[in-house]
Amino acid sequence: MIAAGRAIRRFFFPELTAGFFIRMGLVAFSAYLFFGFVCLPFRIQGASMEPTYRDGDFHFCWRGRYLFSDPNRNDVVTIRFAGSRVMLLKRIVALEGEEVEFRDGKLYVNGEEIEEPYVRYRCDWNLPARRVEKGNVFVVGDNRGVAIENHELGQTSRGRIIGGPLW
Amino acid sequence: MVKGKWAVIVLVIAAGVLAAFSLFPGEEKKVKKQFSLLAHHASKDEEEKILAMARKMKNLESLFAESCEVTAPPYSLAGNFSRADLANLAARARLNFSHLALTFHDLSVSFPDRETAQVVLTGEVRGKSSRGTPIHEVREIACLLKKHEGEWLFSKWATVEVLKR
Repeated sequence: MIAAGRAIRRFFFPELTAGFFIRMGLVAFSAYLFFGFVCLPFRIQGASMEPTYRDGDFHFCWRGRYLFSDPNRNDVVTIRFAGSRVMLLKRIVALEGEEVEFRDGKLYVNGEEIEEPYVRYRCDWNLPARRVEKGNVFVVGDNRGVAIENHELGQTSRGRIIGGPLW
Repeated sequence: MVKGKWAVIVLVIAAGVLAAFSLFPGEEKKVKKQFSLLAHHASKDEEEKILAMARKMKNLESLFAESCEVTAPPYSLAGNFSRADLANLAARARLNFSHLALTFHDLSVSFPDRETAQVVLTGEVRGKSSRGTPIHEVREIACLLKKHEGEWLFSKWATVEVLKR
């Protein structure tokens, strides 16, 4: 009983030895590397991905997602600006070489209508057909309930995709 | 006793190095400081007085070179602008906001030569329009600063298209 109490006390109030500080330093350094470069925490600001991702939600961006594979259609990805401090969260709807357009709010890729079960709010978006350039992907948010002029969408280079949300 | 003496020497050296870094900042730090000044002068508080605004615009003007090339298609801006033109543009833009906060992130600075600094960064504007609509805009920006009499001045300013429609 006394030994257990001592162990608990030692766990919460460890002796401040050199070993303790080394262990603490290693944990802090590993956390810095992991959350600073591998799995970036971020908070969603804005309603562009609703209802899939809601304004104010907290997530992690997994940077390893596209290390050994290419992004696919329907993947939700994070797109960097000058760095990873502020990113865009969007869904890939067309890949390089494909022709993408919106007609009366419906998405067409290479002339075929695409089922989008993740879209709940829809406006009558119209966007003339355009081909996705080499090395690019075409991204759109899930919230189509705003006018197309007020929604950020378009093609971006593959190199700007830094990962995807962890869940 | 000897250990204590060494600790004092190490502390003095560390303090000296820190003081040297803060008293003689490198060129990169000077360039970054221009961006924080720009953000400060461009931002607007809700209860900003006209005099404070005038002072801010005067200070903003001093951050730009005599002529600055601006390319910003989202705002229908392209061409060479004088310092006064830019301050007027900023003042007019600020009138549309009841308050606004400009912040810069992820500054990446390179020096193609001793007198030129190339900076790529993310600019973020948050605020409320005078009609009460919340505003939040993010842009990638590429800038060029030229050194003039020891001061880094903005001479080129261009928005980078991240999503091409």
